[in-house]
Amino acid sequence: MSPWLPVLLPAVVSLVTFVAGEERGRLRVAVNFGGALISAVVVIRLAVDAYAGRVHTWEIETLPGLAVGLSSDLLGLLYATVATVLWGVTLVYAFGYMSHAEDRARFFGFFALCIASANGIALSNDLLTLFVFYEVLSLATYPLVVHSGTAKALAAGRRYLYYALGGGAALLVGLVWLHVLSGSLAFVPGGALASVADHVGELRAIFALLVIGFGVKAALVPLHGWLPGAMVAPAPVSALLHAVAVVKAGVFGIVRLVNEVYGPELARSIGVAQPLAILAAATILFGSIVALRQDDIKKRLAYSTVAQLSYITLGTALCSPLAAIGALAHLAHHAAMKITMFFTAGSLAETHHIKSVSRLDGIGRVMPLTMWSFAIASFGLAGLPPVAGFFSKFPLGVGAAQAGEIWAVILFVTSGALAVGYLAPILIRAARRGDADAFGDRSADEAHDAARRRPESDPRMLWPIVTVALLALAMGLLAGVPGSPLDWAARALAPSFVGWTP
Amino acid sequence: MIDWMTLVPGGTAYTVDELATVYGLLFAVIWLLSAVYAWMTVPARERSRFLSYYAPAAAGGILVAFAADAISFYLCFALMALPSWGLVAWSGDAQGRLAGRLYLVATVVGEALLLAALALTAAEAESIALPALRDAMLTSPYGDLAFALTIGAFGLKLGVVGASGVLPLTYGHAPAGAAAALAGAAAKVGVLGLLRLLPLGQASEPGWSSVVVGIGVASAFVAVALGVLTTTPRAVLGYSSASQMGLVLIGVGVGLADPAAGAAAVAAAVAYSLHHGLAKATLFIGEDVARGSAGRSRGAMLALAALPAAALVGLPFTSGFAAKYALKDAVHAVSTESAHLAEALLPWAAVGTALLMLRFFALAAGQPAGGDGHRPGPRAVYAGLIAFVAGAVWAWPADWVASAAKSLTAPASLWAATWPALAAVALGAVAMLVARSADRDLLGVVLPGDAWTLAGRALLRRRPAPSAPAATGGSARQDEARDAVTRWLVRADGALTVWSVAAGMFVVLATVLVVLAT
Amino acid sequence: MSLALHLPALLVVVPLAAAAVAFVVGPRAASWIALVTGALTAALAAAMAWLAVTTGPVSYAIGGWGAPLGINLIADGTAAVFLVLVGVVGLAVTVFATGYFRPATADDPGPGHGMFWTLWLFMWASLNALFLTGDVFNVYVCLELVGLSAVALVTISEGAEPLRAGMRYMFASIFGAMTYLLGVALLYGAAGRLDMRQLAESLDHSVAAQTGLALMIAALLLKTALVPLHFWLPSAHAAAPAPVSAVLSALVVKGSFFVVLRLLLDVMPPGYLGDARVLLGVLGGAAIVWGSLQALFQQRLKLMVAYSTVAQVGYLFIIFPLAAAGGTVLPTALLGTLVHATSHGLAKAAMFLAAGMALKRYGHDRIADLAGAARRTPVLAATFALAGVTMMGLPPSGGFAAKWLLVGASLEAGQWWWALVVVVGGLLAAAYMFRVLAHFIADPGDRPGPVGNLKPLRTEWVPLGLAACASLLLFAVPLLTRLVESGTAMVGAGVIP
Repeated sequence: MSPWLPVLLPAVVSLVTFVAGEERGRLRVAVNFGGALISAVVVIRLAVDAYAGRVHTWEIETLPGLAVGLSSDLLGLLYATVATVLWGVTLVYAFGYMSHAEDRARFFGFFALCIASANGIALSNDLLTLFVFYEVLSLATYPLVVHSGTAKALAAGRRYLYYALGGGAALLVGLVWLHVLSGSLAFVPGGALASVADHVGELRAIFALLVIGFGVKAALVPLHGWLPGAMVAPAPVSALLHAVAVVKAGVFGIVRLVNEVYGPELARSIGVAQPLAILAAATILFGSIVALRQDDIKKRLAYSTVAQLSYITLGTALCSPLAAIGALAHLAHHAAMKITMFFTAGSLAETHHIKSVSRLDGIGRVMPLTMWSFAIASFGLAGLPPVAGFFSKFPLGVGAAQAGEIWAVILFVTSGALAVGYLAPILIRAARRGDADAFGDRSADEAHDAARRRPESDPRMLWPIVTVALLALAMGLLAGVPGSPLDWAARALAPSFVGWTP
Repeated sequence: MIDWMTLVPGGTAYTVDELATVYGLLFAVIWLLSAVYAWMTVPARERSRFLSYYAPAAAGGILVAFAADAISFYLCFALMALPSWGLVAWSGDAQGRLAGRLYLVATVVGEALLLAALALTAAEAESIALPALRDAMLTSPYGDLAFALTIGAFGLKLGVVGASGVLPLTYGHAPAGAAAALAGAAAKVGVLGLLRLLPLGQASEPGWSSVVVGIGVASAFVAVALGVLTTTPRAVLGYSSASQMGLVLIGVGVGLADPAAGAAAVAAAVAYSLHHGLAKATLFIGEDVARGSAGRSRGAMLALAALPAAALVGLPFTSGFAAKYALKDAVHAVSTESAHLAEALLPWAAVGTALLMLRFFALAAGQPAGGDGHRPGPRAVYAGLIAFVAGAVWAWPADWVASAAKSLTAPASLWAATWPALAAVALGAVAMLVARSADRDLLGVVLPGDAWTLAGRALLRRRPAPSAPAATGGSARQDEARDAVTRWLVRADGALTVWSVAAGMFVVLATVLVVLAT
Repeated sequence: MSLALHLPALLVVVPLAAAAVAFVVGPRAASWIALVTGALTAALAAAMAWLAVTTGPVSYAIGGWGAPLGINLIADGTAAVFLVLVGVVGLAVTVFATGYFRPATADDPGPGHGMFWTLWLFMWASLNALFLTGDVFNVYVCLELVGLSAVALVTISEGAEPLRAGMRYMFASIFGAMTYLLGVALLYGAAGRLDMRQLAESLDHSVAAQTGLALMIAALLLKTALVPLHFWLPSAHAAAPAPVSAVLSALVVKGSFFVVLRLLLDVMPPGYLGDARVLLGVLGGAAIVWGSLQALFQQRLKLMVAYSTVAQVGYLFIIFPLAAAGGTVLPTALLGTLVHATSHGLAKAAMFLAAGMALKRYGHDRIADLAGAARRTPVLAATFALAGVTMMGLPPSGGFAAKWLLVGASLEAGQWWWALVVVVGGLLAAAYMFRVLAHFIADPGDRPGPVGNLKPLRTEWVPLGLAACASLLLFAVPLLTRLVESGTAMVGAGVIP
């Protein structure tokens, strides 16, 4: 079982999808599902191995003194598993959502390529490899953002590129500098820079450059500007990439950077963790408050993502074991919850052409399963047990308190309340009886009755929604079980904190 | 380090201790009886909608009594409070929706405060068991903050001063059965939470004791003032709840002053929870039953409601008498200034409650008929509840019940329990005369929900229209500038291709190179 | 074994002979001859590289006459890199050209069809000779041969525009060659030798020698089209048929650059020419910025690609101001420069070939009117996109490896401003590449689509392959490293440990 399989398989799927072309739809379906299934099995096998302490490593030399390498460690596999498993679910949804769209070969090809690079980022053994896949991901996302080819989409894509490539440039300079300084870019739990720890100024500058680089995808304010615009992409893209694979690449980079390049201790002692924490805190507040004012559902969710991603950043920057674990678990938890929400948004747009919060009145009676799923995810995002979100936010809060950062505790609960503030209106409107002419000329009651007779939406869209919502619920209910994201995160990060065991 | 990582699924745990037994029974009885009543009175086609809110709320509301760790408690608390939104906003009209919103704000803020308190104490305790958290409250460097957060979180649920308006809003637009459950059981979770998290009987915290007692006293009287002046019978009951919960806070507060008073304080809080829970639930249902009836039968139904009302006032032989006796015991056991103040004011709180009850009966008698409460089924539930009010507390095997029963034979204590009611009747009579001569309703000046409603309305009016989509692309001026740059660039490069320029450039460059080289 | 000894000569002789044969036979047979020769020459180049890695630099005296009387061919690791690049790109272009120049109908032989193969093979031979030559005068000869065949190839298409562009190109070429010759004369007067190895041993700081070398370098800059001497390049590269543009942009400019590299790193001792080295770096930086800005505002695809070459050439010159710094700066920068030359060669050839496809299928190359190309001609769009990855310097392309190494060298040398230029250049490249790609993806609306058969020709996959190679070149960097580490034939600077 080699660690490059999770990268290679989606890449092959991507290649076959491209080459097969637009016309061979059945082949496309078969290859994508087959690939997703096998990838999931492979990733889970690797995870089982990693749980048992067997970490597979593979690397080849590229640049002088540097290798490109993959390693199936627990930390990486957490992200890879999330991306791969959700890829399969999203494919079902996407084949429903895109059933009438054009350029499907291009869409699914790049989609698979994004997963390949996300897995690459996850399993990277060092910063160089991570950077390689990071940039591939930047590029592979672009065609998906501009998929519709409209002027609006192209403008959003352009903006995305400004940010992504600018961040990439900062990353490049930072990495080269780090390499020149320390001679190594490998990930070592607890940090690998002890030997050059006295170059404080340089280390700070490098950290800033790298955080700018990762911060673009992690949507740290003020680098978040691309994300809301990128919501012009088709719903599966918003769901899997702009809630899971792409944005998580940024925060995952920060997790690796803080825990396995600088190490929590060094990051704290040279004073880079604190500013990062403050930046993340500002992002949380900013994202949550702006989300309150968005009428467009996807935009509201996008700003919510901006805020939620910074939970992970903040938790990591607090450099306290529990906070870091909560942060990493949130990577998986948020993925399941937010993907549910974006699926729902897409389903609303596709089934009833509803794109704004103000037009949601009564939709809950027409699409009960969909909206209940959304509700579960919302509860989770607001940090309510037993949905997953609580089980990352609580450790985050406890960790923050243990680190003595009370303001962070206050911030976590405040933003939880704000999350209710921007999500509750959606649920409240959905639960209303609805206006008489909300759905064509039928009243919501009639639509409700009609909905009883046929499925509330394309089953290929409905069941993935229910599945991911239940997944979010299960992640919370089973948070104490070995193999849950929380447990996983605890094991993955334990080596980074010397003298700490879960 | 943190034990819940290896705990049972979800890291949750439950217990059956003394508090859990009392509150578990109370919550179960009220949620279930209320459910029966609601099922009979909610229109058939609305029942599934009703259940989808009521069932999770009831599940959380009952289980919360048994929660033994922070996560379980928080889970149950949230499970109860959030779906209740659907009950609070049940009517669906503008007022109901506003009430729902305000309820949600209060609930979410309360949950946030609670979560912060739990996280802070869990960080110190490195455990999430509630007793451990309670100990950590004393040892943690952020203990005071956690203290404040806890009181804030549950204070919102209890409608302390400043939040008194939340309670009438919560009950105002719900189906009667749901209102009964919310008032009788859901609000008591606040008391339970305080008992679970605050170190009653464990340490002497005179500062916090005074604060809590102060809040309690203020809550008790402010709510009376607001309630007397409000406009609907349900709102009056809501304010009355807020007032009564103020009394509970007094009990909790004195328990913080002196470890020795801890047991008495817990007993008082439990007594008040039991007695008030049952009585208030009965009053809500009684109000609905009476509203469904007209004429003489309405009078009869309201007359039955006199029993729970009398209990609230604390007349002898009612459950309220026992509760009040327990509270007095606790307050008496402590010799702080705030406790003395509270002791002196307690009878006047009873006067206030009595006034509220009078106001309630006046409003309930006068409102137009409606609802389904008059049918035999609902009336049977009503009757059952009255039976509970009459007997349940006295049958409860606890010390405070026994000593209260003993004091029933002492004329002094009987008088002490009776005169506030008489005073209230006198005051009420005066007020009615004044009101009649003033030729307008001097009393109905407080909106149900007071400042909360006003603020909510003001905010909703000021809500900005959904922001217009940001203009994409640059303005005309930007375009012009870009064009100018483009033109200049193209022309500049074109100039380089002119032969003379190109040759000149080459010569210059070659010269410079030669000069630099040599 | 004996054949291996003659490899350097064979690399020149084989394509030269094939050119002669192709001149004689008809166009159809010529294309086959070109294919076979191309494959053979590429194989010879690979063998040459292998030899350079295993045995170190190979020196070959033509006819057995050594310097100073005879002509020496030198094949060291650096030369081998370029030889292999010429081999790979040359073969790819040859294959592509068989499809590109295929007559539309049986009786229309197509413009310049016949002459293409001869000229192209001739140019291939001259290029190989240029990379192998170890003598500054022979460099002049090879430059002239390459230049003349290039001019002829530009004018192979009919019409006024290619002719005008060709004339401009020819004048620039001749002007450069003359100046170079003048420099060689001065140098010969001062040093009395022409063989590079001997020059390296005996170069002094006389004014004549320095002036001569400066003039030679100025001339080479003109031929490499370094800003501000790039005036001839865009028109010439844009006017030529696609396979010719590809060769010009990918290989020919590298030829003259290679000579600059040889002169400055191998022949001259470190520090020789002083601040002129810094000027080269400055001009390189200027080229990156200026060329990218021009590319950003071009309306036509081929012009955009041509200006991109102007920009990318700039990266090659960053090495010169860095060379004097100690440590591992020079090896790092040299490797970076070579990786850049290679990846740019592969990617730029792919881009020009793709542009040719666009021109052929849509009948124009106006960028704005190519909307929807991603849907209508996906292979074309994919080629462009993949090639763009290298231009932007994103991993895992060769452009990325080059940038990494150049930035690393700059930072290690403490000259961070070059790193800044390199990074900004990458961003500008992204800007002009994505401007085109955005048009490709945009909704075509009612714009006319491609004419004729929509299915891609088999030969049209070739540029895609080239672009793919360029964008995966990071993984081939160890090979290049070994080539560079195999040592240089020169003694002077002795840059390689």
